[in-house]
Formats: sequence, structure tokens, C-alpha cells
Amino acid sequence: MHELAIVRSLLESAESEARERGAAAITGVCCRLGVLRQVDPQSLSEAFEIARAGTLAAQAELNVRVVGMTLDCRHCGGRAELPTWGFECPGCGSTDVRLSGGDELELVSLEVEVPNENRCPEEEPLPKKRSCG
Amino acid sequence: MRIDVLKRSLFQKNDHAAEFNRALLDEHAVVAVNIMGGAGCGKTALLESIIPQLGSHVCVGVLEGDLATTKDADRIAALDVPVVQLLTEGGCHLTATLVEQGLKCLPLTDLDLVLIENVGNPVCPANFDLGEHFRMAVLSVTEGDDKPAKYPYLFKVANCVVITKMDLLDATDFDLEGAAATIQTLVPDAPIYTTSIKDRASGRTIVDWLLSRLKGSLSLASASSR
Repeated sequence: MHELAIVRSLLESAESEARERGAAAITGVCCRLGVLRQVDPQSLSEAFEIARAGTLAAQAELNVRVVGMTLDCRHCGGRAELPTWGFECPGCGSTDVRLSGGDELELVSLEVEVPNENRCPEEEPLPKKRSCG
Repeated sequence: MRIDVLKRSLFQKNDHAAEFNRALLDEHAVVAVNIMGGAGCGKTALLESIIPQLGSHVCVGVLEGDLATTKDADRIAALDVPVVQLLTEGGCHLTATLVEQGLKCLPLTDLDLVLIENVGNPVCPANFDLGEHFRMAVLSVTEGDDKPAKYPYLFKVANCVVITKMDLLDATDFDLEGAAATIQTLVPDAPIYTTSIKDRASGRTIVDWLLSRLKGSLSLASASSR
């Protein structure tokens, strides 16, 4: 339900970053979403398509990179990266763990169009989609 | 042209407001507890039960989070304590910005404790720092013993867990030991209390927990000001 508020914040940040660099349009937005954030990537993309209208990112594509979570085990001292939810140390089985990552929701990068950008004539055009992060 | 942004958090605005709230509360030596749980789990009834038991020496204020109506604030106001109804108008959780507005309406200089009742929802509230010092997760026996496993993050971030509506235990197939075991695997250090509005004394352990948080934080606040 709060995905729309999140994409508005995302667009606000993206526009601010783009304007600082004199960009006329944003063509791609990449964000990093931790599994613990309890945000559905599909809903985020759908909300983005609604909220982008009338912004610099009106034609932009959203790339959501979902990242897993990190556990620090207080029992064995190990650190584990889990691709999805889990609250048990895979090393020793202890549940006495501290969550040290997985709740990120960050703007990572943008693809923008800058007017009169000095381009090297031999430069290859950027691929339409790039992996982010 | 590609711009790398270097991890600009989309929760920056909320987290800044949360830090502001925490500083404001600390400045007034006020402890805040964020009370979270599903709709109808008994959060307001719990407040109605424990507030009168806090004692006249503890001054409490309440922030009530809901999508609509002042029904909960009206119930708390009947206890003769300062209360502000925060309406999210469709939002599924309280935000630190909304709480900041609420705190500014409370007489913080006169208070020791602020109880923040979040929007009834076992999911999203757990992800939003409001600037509170402690988090309480509430679960009722009528919701089912599977909820700690189904909504683990709510319990994982809690400092204390309360199981309500114990008077209905016999009318349900709620497995109290099983639910408690799941909660303990998620938060080994958090105390688990059981309560029922039919048994007023059952709220005493929660009151004691709140009072002990109050003392701890007040001594911390006075230590940091030295």
C-alpha cells in the first residue's frame, strides 16, 4: 500500500540528482531493494508507472535490484548472506542473530539525457538496459 | 549518461524525522514506545488497561495512529491523559514525520512516557523508525499461533511481545507454547507477556516492564547530560 509513497520519494531523489547535473530527462532509474523492506518489487514497478507522469522520468524505466539479507551470529560469530528471509544462522543453527543488512531501499543510479552533452563521435551508444549496482 | 548516486536512501526523509523525534524526546527525558500489531489485536484495550496502572507519578501521553476516525483517541481521552489522533488517510503505517507533528502537540515537558499506537497492521509499521526507544509487538490469541512465523519481522524488531485476549484461549486452538517458542527463536532476549482485559492484574508485568524502561532511559539521559 505504501509503494506509491516510496516511488514518489524515489522520483523526488532522482529528479534532484538529475537536475544537479543539468539533465533534461531521466530514461532509467535503478534502485536496490532489500528483502526485509517488505516492499513488493512488482507493486513498486506498477506504482512507478503511475507516479512518473509529469516528472523528468516520464519515459523512464525502473530497474529494481532485489538484494538478500545479512545475519551476524552472536553464537558462532559468523556472518551469512541469505537470498531470502531466514532468521537462523546457517553455520551453527543459532537463532541468536543480529540483522545487519537487507532493509535497504536506495536509489543506485540513473540514466539521463543531458542537452548539448559533449559526446565523443566514436563513442558507442549506451545499451538500452544496463545492470545496475 | 549514467549517474551513480552512491546509495541515496529513500527512507532518508523518514529517518531524519525519526532522529529529530528521538532527540526531542531525549531532550525532554521522555521514553517512547512504538506499539505494533494487526488490526483488532487489542492494542487500544491494552493501553486502556495499563495506563491507569502506571501510577500517578508517571505522566503518559499517547499518539494514536489510524487511517480514519478519532475512535481510539476518544477512548484514551476518557482516561484523562493527553492524546493526539494521527490520521494516515489511507497510509498503512505511521511515519516519523506524522509522529513529529503529534509530539509537537503533546506537553512533552510534563511527560515521562509516550505510547505510540501504530496503525493496525502486522507488516509495514515494523519498517518505519518513528524515533521511538522501544518497540512492543502485540498478538492476540484469536489471530492464531501461526502469526509470529507468518509475520516474523514484526517480532524480530520487538523489544517486548504481548499476547492478548488470553480469556479466549479455551475458545480457540491457539498453541501458546508453540507461539512463544517461535517468538523466542526470533527474539531470544525479548520478554513475552500474556494478558487479558478480564484479568486486570495480568497487565501488571507489562506495566513493570514499561517502568523499568523508563528508569533505564532516564538514568541514561541524565548520564549523557553530565
